[in-house]
Amino acid sequence: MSDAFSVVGKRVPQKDGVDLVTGVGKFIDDIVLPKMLYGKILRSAHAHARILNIDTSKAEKLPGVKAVITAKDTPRLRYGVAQIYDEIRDEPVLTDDKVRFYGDRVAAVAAVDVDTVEEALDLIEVDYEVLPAVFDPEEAMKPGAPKVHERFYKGDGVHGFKECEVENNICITKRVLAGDVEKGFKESDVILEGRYTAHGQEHSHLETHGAVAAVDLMGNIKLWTTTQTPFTIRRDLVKMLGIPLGKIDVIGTKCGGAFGGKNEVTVEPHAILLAQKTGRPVKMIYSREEEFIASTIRHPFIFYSKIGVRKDGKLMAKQGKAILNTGAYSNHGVGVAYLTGAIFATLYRVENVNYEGFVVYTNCTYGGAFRGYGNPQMTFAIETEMDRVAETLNMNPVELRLINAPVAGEKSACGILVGSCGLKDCIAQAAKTVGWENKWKGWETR
Amino acid sequence: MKQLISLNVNGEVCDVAVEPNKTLLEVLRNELQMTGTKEGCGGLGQCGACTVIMDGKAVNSCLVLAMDARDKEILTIEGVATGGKLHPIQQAFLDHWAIQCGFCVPGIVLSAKALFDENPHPTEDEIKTAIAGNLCRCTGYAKQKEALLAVAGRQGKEGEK
Amino acid sequence: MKKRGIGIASLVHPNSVRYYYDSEGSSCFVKVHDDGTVSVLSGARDMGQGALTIVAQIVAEELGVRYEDVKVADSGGTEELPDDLGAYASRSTFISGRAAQVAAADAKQKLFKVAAKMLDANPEDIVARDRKIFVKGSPEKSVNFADAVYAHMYDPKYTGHTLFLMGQSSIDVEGSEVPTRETGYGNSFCGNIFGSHVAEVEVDTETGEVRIIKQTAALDVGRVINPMGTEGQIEGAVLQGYGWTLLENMIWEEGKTLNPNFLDYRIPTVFDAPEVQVVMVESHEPQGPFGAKGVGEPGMVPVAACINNAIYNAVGVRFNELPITPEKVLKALKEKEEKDKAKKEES
Repeated sequence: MSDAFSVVGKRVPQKDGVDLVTGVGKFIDDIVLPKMLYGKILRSAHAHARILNIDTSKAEKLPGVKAVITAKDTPRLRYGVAQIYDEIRDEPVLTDDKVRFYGDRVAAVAAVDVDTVEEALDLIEVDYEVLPAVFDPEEAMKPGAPKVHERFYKGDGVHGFKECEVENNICITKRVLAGDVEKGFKESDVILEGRYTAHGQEHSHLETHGAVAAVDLMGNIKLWTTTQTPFTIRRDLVKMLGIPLGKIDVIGTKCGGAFGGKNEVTVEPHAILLAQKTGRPVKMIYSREEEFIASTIRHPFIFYSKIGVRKDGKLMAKQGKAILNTGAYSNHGVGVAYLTGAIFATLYRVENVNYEGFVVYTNCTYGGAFRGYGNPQMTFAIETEMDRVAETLNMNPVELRLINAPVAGEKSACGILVGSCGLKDCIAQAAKTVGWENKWKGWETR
Repeated sequence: MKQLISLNVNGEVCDVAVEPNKTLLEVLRNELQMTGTKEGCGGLGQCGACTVIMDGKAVNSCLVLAMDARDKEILTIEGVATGGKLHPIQQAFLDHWAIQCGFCVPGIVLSAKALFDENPHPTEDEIKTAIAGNLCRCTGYAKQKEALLAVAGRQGKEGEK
Repeated sequence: MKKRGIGIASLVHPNSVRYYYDSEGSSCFVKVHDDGTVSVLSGARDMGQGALTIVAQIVAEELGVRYEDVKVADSGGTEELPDDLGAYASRSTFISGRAAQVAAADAKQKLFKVAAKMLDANPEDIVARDRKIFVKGSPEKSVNFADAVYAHMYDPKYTGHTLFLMGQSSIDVEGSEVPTRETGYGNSFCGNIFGSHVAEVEVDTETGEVRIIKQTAALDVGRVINPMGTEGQIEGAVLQGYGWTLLENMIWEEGKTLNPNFLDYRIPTVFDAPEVQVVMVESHEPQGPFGAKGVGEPGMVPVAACINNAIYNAVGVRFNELPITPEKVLKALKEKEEKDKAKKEES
C-alpha cells in the first residue's frame, strides 16, 4: 500500500463497528413502534393450484386480529425487477389466480402479537384446485408440460408493456452472438462437449427479511426495511401498489447480511397494505423456514458446452446453451441469463461465440440475485472445461489460461471493454504463491 | 397466563411478567427491550445468534425457558463492555475487522467470553470449539479467529493444537 | 487414504452492469463543520461490506482530513439521503465511493479558493493532507484545515463571501451501454475485475469427504481502500463458494423444501473454514475512487471450478454436477477403480 495516501489503504476499523460489537445497532426486528402490530403471510399449500375461494371470516373474528388481506385488497398489479430493459411483470403482491410454488403468497394477517397471527393463518380456509406441476426445467420446456404462467406482461419503462402468452414455460431467451462458430469449430483441432448442472443455494444471511410500515393521517408511508436497495424498492412499490413516489419514504435499517437476497421485494407491500388498513404500524419478519421456502435462491443451472481449440491452445469457438430454472417467477432471471452469456464470451479471448440462455418457469422456489449472479454457475462449467481442454492438449492448465487471457484495452467477443486487466498477473501470482510449478506434476491421474 | 418472575440480567435484577412457554430470548428482546441478543434460526438453537452467558456457561437463549432462567446470572451483549470501555474481545473484533454485518457478533462475543473467562490463553482448536455453534455467513471466520487468537496472546501462532 | 491436489480457475466479474437501468448513478452530500470535521450523506448502502467505512476513508483522503474527522450518516431514508441504486453487483466502492470522492472534491475546490489566498498561492498549487493545507513541495507553508474552513464560513476578506462549506455530486459511469437484445453486444460492464484462484484440497478416499486446505485468491482489485475490508469480502465469498460446492444442498421433493433449517441445510462453520490467502494485485480503475474496484462478488466465482479441478488432480475424478457430495465422490472413485481395472485387464 502506498504512502502517497494518508487514509486510503489503511487498516482502519469500521465506522459502525462499536455499535455492532456492543449490540446497539438497530436491525429491522429491533424496531418497536407504539401500537405496533405483527404480520405474516399465508403461503401456498401446494406447488401448483388454482385458487377457487378464500374464506377469511374465521381469521377475522379471532380476538386480536386487526386485518386480513387477500388479492382483492391490492391493486392486482403485476410487477418485475427491472426498470427499463426486458422487464417481465409476472409477480403479484398476493396471488389472485393461482399459486405457483409452495412459498406463494395467498393472504396476509396483522394482529396484536405473533402467536395470534399464526393462529389466524391456520383459520384462513383456501379452496384449491390442485394442478399438475413441473419441477425440472428441461421437462418444463417440452410441449404439453404444465404451464406455470399462461400470460404475463413484457416490455420496458419507456415503451410500455404488452400482455403476452408464455410458450413452453420460457420466460425469455437471452442470446450472445459473435463471429461464426461453425467456422471456428472447423478451424479447431480439438472439440470438447460437456453438460454441467449446478444446484441452487440459499443466501442464509443470519438476519431474515423484514419490514415495518407506518402510515400517517395524510397517507404518507414510512417503511423500514432491511433491503439492499432502498431507492429501488421505493420505485418498485410504486409499480406494485400504485402509490405516488413522493408518499413513500424507505428507510434502510442495519442490514444483517444480504448477498443479493435482499435485492428483492418480500413483505414490504404487505406491511404497507396492512398498515393502511389498520391505521397502525405493522412489523413483518420472515422466519428462517420462510427464507428457505419463499425467498429467492441462486438459480439452478444446466449448461451444455461445446468448445473448439487449436492444438497450440488458442480458443477458436465457444457454443453454449444455458437453462436457468427461474422457478415460479422471473425476478432476476433475465439479468442472470444475460450475465452468464457475457461471462461466457468475455473470460477469455475468443472471436466466435454462440450462447443461448433460456429462463424457464417451474413450480419451484424462484431464483433471484445471489453473489455472482450466475457467474459462479457458468464459471464452474467453463473453468472445468478449460482443464479438460488442457488435459486433452497435454498442456499445463496455467499455460492454457495465460495463452487465452485478454489484456487491457481489448474488447471481448460481445463488446465488453476489458479495462485495467490483471488476469495474466493474477494467474501468474496465484500460481507462484502456491508453488504451482513444484506441486503440479502433470496430467497423469493418481 | 403470565407469571411474575425475577431475572438477573447484567447484574441488575428485574421483575417481568412472562408466559411459561416463553424463552429467555423472547423475554430479553420483547419484555426487557434488550435487542442486542438476536434470533436467527427460528428458535431451534442452530445458529448461536442468541447466545448469552448463564451462570458462566454460553447457552442458546432460544432454548432456555425464561422460567428456567430465574435465580441465574445472565450476561447479554449489553453487559459486556463495562466502565465505559470495550471488553478486549470487542476491541479485538474492531481492530481486526472481525465484524461485517454484525448480526452474529453478539453471540460470538459471548461464546468467546465464556471461554476466555475460564481459560485466558486458549489454543486455536479450543477457540474454534467455543464458537463452532455460532454461524457467520459474512466473514468466513478468518478475522474472527485472528481476533480471538490475538486476545489469547497467540497471534501468529495458528495451527497450534 | 487422504490425497491432496491443486486446481486453478480464473474469473471475470463486472462492477455493475448497465442492463436493467439505463443509469448507474449515485450521489452524495458532504458537509464540513466549523471545526473541520465532516458529515457525509451518502447513497451508499452498507449491508456489512463496510460501505460507510470506505466512503469515510475516501472523503477523508480527498478532503485532507483524518479518518476520525469524518462521520457518515448511518440512518435516514429516501427522503433525506441522496439517490443511489443500491448495494449490488459489487458497485458500492466503485460507484457510490466515487460519488463520495467527487462530492468531497467539490467541497475542497471551494475551500481551496480561500486557502490559496491565505497561503498567497494558486489553488492548483496547494494540497490538503492530515488536517493541513499546504503548498506542494513546501509543507512548511501551511494553514490548518479547520482554520481555512472557518475563514470560508465567516471571514469575507479572502473572497468577499462567507459561505457554509458543502460539496455535492451526482455521477454516472462513463463508457458503458445497454447491450443489444439480438446479439447481446455492448460494453455493459461499468468496470471489471479479473482474478485467479488456486485451491489445495484433500480428498478422503474412504469417506469421500473433500476439504479445502488452502485457497489462494489473486484478484486485480484496483486500488485497495481498506485491506481488511477487501480481505474480509474475499474470505467470506470463498467460504460461501466452498459451502455451495461441497456442503449446501436444498433438497426438494415435488417442489417442497425438505430441509428448511440450518441443521439440515449445512452452511459452513468455523471448522470448515480453510486458510485463505488473498493476493491483491493492485492496478488502477480510472472510474473508481482513487482507482479502486469493487470486490464483493469475485471471491466466490471460481471456487467451485478450482475445487473440482483440484479433486481431479488429487484422485483423478472430475464432476459435472454440483454439489460434490461425499457420496458422489465415493461413487466416482469406485467407477474409476473399475474402469482402471478393466483397462489393465485389456492390456
